[in-house]
Amino acid sequence: MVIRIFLATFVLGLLVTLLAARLYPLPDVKRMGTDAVALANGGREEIFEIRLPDDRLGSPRAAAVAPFPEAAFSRNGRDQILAELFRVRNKDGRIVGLASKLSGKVAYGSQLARDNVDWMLMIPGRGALLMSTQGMPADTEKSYPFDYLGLDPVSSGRILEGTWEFDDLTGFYLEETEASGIDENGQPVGLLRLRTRMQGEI
Amino acid sequence: MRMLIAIIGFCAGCAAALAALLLNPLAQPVQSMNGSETYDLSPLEFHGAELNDVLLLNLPVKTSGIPFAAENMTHSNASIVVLRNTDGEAVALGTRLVMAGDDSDLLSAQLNAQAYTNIFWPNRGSIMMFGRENRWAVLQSYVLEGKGNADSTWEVSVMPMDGSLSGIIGGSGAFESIGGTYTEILKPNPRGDGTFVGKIALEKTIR
Repeated sequence: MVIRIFLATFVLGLLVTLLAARLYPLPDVKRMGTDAVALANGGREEIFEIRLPDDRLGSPRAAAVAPFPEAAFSRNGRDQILAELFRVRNKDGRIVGLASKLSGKVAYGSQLARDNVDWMLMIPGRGALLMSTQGMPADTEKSYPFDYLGLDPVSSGRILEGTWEFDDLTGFYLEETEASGIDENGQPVGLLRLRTRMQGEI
Repeated sequence: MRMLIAIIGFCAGCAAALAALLLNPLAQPVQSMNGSETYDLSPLEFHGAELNDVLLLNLPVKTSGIPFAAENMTHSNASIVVLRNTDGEAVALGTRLVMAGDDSDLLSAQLNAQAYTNIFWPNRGSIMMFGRENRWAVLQSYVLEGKGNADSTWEVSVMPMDGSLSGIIGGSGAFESIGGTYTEILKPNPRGDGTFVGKIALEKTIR
């Protein structure tokens, strides 16, 4: 009788614990709505905004200059990599995600260098966009719309990849800055806008 | 007497279930460090909350860092990282954006996170990477070894079961159109602030 009671309650304990694990409230990332608009010639446009300097995380001056006078970051003592982190807003001004920007020179041919800017845009609950002005996707068969979806071919960059709801999309982005001045700390004041245009993969 | 046996039996059942969950033999395997280039990775700047066991389990205790206030960003963080080679020289700069996955499941030992990493080598090029992580090992370690063990290392990289995107997804300059894989391990930051440092191993391939 004692063994039966022990076994029955043992199994009950097992089941209760497993049920609790099944129902345990793990993080549920809320999906923020999208304000993407359809483009007349196909595709969609979504604009993400960064208010400067409010949405900058940390100090760009510290990030760019203080820790990196190391020789490794500058072959000739002048070039530097600038790393920046931002909060990102939708068109309504609501904070919806995070972004990082890395800019610097990259090799172009054997002797030349050119400027490159990489952007990562992460919208929790929706996914992320990995974008670059000079970068190319690892998927060499990925094709892009020849008309740049109406963006300026010179100043726009490629969306190398998207995840979650941006998966299976291809397109371009354009970084636009509306500077209105410099604040007392020497930081630019204004609006940085990431205009993304995407369509289904071709 | 019967009541005592019942309580002991119930508690033993709970303990057995917890042990089975913690050491779940059916858990998705994490990948060992594997790559031709290995770098130490440590944050220079960190913003948001670290995705440790406390945050990924939604435990009502203070976590490391200050979570972002926006309602969809409480389980995400952003950092600027420096990469050092095996000689300890800083060779590249990177940024990382990490968020909790939407597919965590205690029954299958998954505390998932998604990490987006951008690494920039000065005057050479950059790569952009996307990786899935299972931070269950962090929980295991903290429960089995106790918090604050500075020697802990956790393998967290997982290969997506459905064959979906992960690894090096593109690059610029010398790494234009480079693909490949990466794996990483996490360790407690020696600064003791609750954030993680780690190692990252890259296996670049030319497509």
